[in-house]
Amino acid sequence: MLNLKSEVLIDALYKCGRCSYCRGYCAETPIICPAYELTDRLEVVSPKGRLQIARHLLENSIRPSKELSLSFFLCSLCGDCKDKCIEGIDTTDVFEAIREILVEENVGIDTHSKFMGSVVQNNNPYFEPHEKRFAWLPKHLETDNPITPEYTYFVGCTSAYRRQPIAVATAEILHKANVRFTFMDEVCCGSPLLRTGHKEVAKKLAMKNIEIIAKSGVKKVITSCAGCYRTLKQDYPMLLERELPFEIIHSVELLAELIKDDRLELSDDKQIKVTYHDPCHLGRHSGVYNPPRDVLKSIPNIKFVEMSENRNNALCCGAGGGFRSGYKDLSIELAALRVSQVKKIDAEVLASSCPFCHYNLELGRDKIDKNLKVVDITELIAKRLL
Amino acid sequence: MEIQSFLEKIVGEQYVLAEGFEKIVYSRDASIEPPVLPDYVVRPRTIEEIQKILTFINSASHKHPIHIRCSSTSYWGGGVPTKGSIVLDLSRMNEIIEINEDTQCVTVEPGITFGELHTALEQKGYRIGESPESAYSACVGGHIASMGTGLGQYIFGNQGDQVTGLNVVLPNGSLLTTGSGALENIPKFTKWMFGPDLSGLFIGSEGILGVIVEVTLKLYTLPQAMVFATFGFENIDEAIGTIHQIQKGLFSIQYLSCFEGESFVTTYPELDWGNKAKSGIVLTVVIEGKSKEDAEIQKKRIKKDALKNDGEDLGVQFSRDVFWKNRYTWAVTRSLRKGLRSIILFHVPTKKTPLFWEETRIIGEQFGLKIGRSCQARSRHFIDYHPSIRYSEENPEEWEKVKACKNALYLRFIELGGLPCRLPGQLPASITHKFKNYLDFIRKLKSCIDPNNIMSPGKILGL
Repeated sequence: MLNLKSEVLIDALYKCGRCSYCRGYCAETPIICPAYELTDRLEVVSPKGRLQIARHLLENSIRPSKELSLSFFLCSLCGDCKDKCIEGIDTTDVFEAIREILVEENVGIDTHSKFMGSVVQNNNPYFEPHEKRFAWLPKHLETDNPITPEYTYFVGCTSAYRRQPIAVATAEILHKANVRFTFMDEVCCGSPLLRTGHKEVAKKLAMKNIEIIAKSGVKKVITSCAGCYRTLKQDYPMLLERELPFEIIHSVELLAELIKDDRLELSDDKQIKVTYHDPCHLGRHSGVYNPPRDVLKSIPNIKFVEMSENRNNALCCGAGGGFRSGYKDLSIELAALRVSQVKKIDAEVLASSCPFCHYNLELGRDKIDKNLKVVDITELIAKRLL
Repeated sequence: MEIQSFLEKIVGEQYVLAEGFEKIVYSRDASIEPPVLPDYVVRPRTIEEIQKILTFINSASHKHPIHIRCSSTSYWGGGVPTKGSIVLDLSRMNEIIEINEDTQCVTVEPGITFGELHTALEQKGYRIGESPESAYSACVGGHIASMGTGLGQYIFGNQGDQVTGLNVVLPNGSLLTTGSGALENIPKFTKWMFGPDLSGLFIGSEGILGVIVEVTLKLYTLPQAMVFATFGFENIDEAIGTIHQIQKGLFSIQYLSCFEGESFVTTYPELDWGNKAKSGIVLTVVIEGKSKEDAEIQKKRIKKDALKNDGEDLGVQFSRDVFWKNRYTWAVTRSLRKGLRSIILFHVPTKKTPLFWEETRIIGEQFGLKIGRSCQARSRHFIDYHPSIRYSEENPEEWEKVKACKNALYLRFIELGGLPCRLPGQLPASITHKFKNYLDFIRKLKSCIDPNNIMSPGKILGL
């Protein structure tokens, strides 16, 4: 029998009543399971299908295989099925656990193993040297290293190596608002590894990051990445089985506070119509829906409009959960689907609060309409700083 | 292997599934029935592909049984394939073909979910007459083939009554159009043509006569007003007495049901329920009106009937929008959130319902099981009675016990004069002899239309 350790997971597998609501359709959420839709409604990759396969794996009536693993890895772990599950099954937890087993059985996805190797070697999944982690940092901000910092900015690998303007914008805003902050010699938060079945390596990264933060004495960690946010805030305490000695805050949460406290002065600009994409890790996984909207609504001359698929009903961008690295074409197709929802409301700007979403939505945008601007909220704010 | 290659040639390699783990996913529906593995799963996109598949199977030396499947949300076993069959998964056939505002009919492919259809129709101010409570995931084709029941039925009739025409691929691969659409250039606006109702052959047929590949249904405008009422009763006799009074009146009912109060109250703890609801029976009714005033007048009359039967007005209110938005999670949530699974569905004469209610308790006790009891009036003429049960398949003994209990309920309910909504593969001769001529006629019909018996053999009493 496969080693499915948690009783909770076993319970979840038997709880599924196969009602199919996890791959259903309603006006608010036309696509609940993106993988199911992208594969022409292939039930084998639907959440219900995966739960059935998982149960048979548990009962040892089938064996793990490369073909079977597709069912579990062809999924961005967006959490919409969990959100819609009438029986309250934590599907993302189940799928992550099964991925871990599949990796143990050597039937994981090769690209995932490769970036895991890069994380071990370089502390990031992008095969970039660790020394270049702060290559984005402008000279004038290098000096921002107060003796008693209140915050440390956990930049995250994607902002550090692939979406550097987000890191710059975040640091610029903190600097302008006179937030006492510092940086740390962080390593990958472990999110890509946790999502793709490499839990043990992720645990080591968690211990390392916690040690670094604890040593700095800082009690508040700010991050501009939704994936890092979820991992630091929710996964670290679970992995290490203890509460963290510091608070985790997403940049949009802090921005909302700074704006509320009049600590940021923003310039006027021509009116633009902006909509917001809820990153799965910030929205459905963490319940942070209002702060980004509060921030956008407070920017002068921005007309904020919602897509009909918003908040817990937002469609995933396709970047997360190892989906992009495992199935690039489908992942971009999903991002394009999300962008097509933006086109329905004629927004000129698609804002988000995750560098990974930003990365994929730009690729999706390129397939639909190159005129649509894809930005991070921090970039919108930084541009208007007085 | 020869069959697999041929199927792949017809639909494309990626649309034929034959791996063990793939077949497992297509081996069950939402019922308590155990899984049955098919040999292959084929996922056609077009009518022509289905025609080719059936023609091929009919001419092959080994005639694989065909099992048709869309969402497989059946609670009664209709989605469990025949052993060794080829499953035709129609979920790729999910388009709306035409919304005809002149004839007020909509034509769809069988794999479209009711959720998709409703969303598209509501944008144009329309709805269809009846939809299952699993509408977000259930498909139109499967609902018609299994003669499903659901919301809206009380006003507009069941799904069969909504059909104005079907396109069906017959077992020999030929295509049959039923209803007015059979005549070229005539819209599919009525199922009544010269001669008998051919659509009726396939409605509720469980796929034993052909593959429904296109469906035309009647359209209606969206409801104008709705009011909601809940009443508490000390016992089932009082509640059923009220339902019978309602059925005698000419009310416009969207939803009318009664449950054991305990499950209802604990599912919605945020609402303020009276004591009668907690210990007795809760009756909920949603009334549709041409206007708010019209709906309120109906509600007053229903309240009078309820009070006459010693009911207590629980005063719980939902707005039209709240009910309309949640109508397809309302009942499903109530039971599934509590871990309850419907195990059986019978149409029973209204006044006899308390008898079925009590028998359920007795049989449940015999098996050491506590069975949840609830029923709905989806018609003015009878009650849909569907007990449900909480069990875990993790415990094989418990699962076996539930299956045995279900069979006992089945036999007893038929003895008591209930009509099962779906005939199982097997029933004792003592029961089948009661409708022998009926079964013989269907058997002859099947042997004419499907001489090689490839379509879902055994799905209806061994036919």
